[in-house]
Amino acid sequence: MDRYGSIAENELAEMCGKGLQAAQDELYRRYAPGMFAICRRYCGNTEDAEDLLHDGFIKIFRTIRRFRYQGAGSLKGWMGRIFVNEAVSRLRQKARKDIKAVRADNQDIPSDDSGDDIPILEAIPPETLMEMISGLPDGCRSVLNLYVFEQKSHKEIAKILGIKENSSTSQLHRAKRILKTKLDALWIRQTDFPKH
Amino acid sequence: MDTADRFSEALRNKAGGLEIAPPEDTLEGIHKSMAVRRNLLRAASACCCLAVIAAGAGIYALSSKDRDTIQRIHTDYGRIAAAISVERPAVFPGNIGTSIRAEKEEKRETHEKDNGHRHVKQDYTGSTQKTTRREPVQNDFPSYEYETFPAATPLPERRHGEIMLQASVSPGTVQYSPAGQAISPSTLNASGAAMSKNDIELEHSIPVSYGISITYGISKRWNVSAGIDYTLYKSQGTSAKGSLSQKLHYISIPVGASFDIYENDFFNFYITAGASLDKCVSGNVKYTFTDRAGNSGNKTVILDTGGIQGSFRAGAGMMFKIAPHTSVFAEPMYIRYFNGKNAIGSYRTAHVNGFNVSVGLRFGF
Repeated sequence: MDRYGSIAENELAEMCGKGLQAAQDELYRRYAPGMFAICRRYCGNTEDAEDLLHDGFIKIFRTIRRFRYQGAGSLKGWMGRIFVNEAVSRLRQKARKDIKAVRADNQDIPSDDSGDDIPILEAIPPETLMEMISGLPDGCRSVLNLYVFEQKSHKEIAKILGIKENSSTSQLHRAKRILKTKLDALWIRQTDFPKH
Repeated sequence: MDTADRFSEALRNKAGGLEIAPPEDTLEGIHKSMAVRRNLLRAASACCCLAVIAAGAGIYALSSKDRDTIQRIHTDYGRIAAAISVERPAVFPGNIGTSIRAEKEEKRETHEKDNGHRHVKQDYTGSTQKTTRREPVQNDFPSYEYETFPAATPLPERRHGEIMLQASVSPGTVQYSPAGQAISPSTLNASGAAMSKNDIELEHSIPVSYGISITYGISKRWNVSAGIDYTLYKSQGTSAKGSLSQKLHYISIPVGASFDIYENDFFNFYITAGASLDKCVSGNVKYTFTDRAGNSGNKTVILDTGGIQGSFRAGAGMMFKIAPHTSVFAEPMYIRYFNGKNAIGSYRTAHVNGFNVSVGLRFGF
């Protein structure tokens, strides 16, 4: 709605706090794509991501009265944190189950840190990368998200997910390894000449 | 820099700020879920109201049981006494409610006028008996006409036309509906102040009504009432540019009816419903603003308060007699405001449905 189209984030948040539907619609219009990307990253499939988006916004509309504006971007940051918390609490079980299952046969194989894949990474469209991340197994996907995008330390991740710190480390390696394999496969498919 | 970190950094840069279009119907689903939650809250409130009414009905039912027992003792006494001797004075249990005694005494008076003859017209089994005696007092077993609704116990005989005057205060409470439209466009246009439509969001204070009314008993259980009320609706809004304070003065003429569910000498439980015509008789908005130069000023705008609005109330009530001819009452009610088009934004436009509790004093004449 035009009425709220250009409103500042702190005032938009206030109006949402009062329950005005037009303001809520505008909040959704502005931030849902970004939030949905977070959902897709954390959830393994589109249905779960949609559910998370739905529930996350309901939680946001219910608690936005408590939001305190702290400068540009703080609203998006606050919303993102709510989504991450929601995502993690849903995924915690699945992640732990997955991590326990693989721990037996997956000894600490360190990831290839040569950095060769970075150019490939930079060449692909972001959506493709998103697909790859969504396609990761539950455990290492959660760890990767928390480490790379939320920039948590392994100690913090261990606490959040309820796993051991070295599980977190090995899951991160696993995630990176899988991603690199996928990137390489993509490169090989997409180019006519073999990788050097 | 550690290449491992570079990979993470590259990942973050690539996908960190990504935006993906959400599915089409998610927003609708969100609104639906929130509406369901609101409706659940409303249903819960309605259940509480019903629970209160049910409790009242329960109290009534329990007390009518006691009355039945007392009646039975009473009339059994009657038959026994009549069978034995007509001269023995009847002794009634002292704990019969004063209401029954009152009725009995009334009947006694009518019987006394009967030339010293006493006719027991009808006992509760339907058969008639006649007795004659010298003294006009004893062995008076008046007949009772039983009401058939709802549990066949008589209410104290209400004198028709009993008038009660009441003064009451009614604060609106328990707002559960989200705030609706803010200050109306017509008001904003009239302001001429340096505030844009987007800036102002009003917070409405809960209004309090003060009123007097007259209640008239048209039958044993039914009453009608009419009165006049004054209500002040206050709203405030602030924005970066300044603040405003709005006051609306409403006069209302409420009419209503109530139905007594249970009544005894000191307590009355009833349900009531009514409608009222509300007219805003005056209103103004006072703006306080600070311009860029740091000067502050204020401006008062008189609002155009045309049109008649209305409201509807329904709920239950309880009344306690605290002194002769004086009772205190409380009436929790559901209230719905009818505002019409172009109504000035206020509490009643923002919270069209709500709950409200009236408390006050009633004086009987």
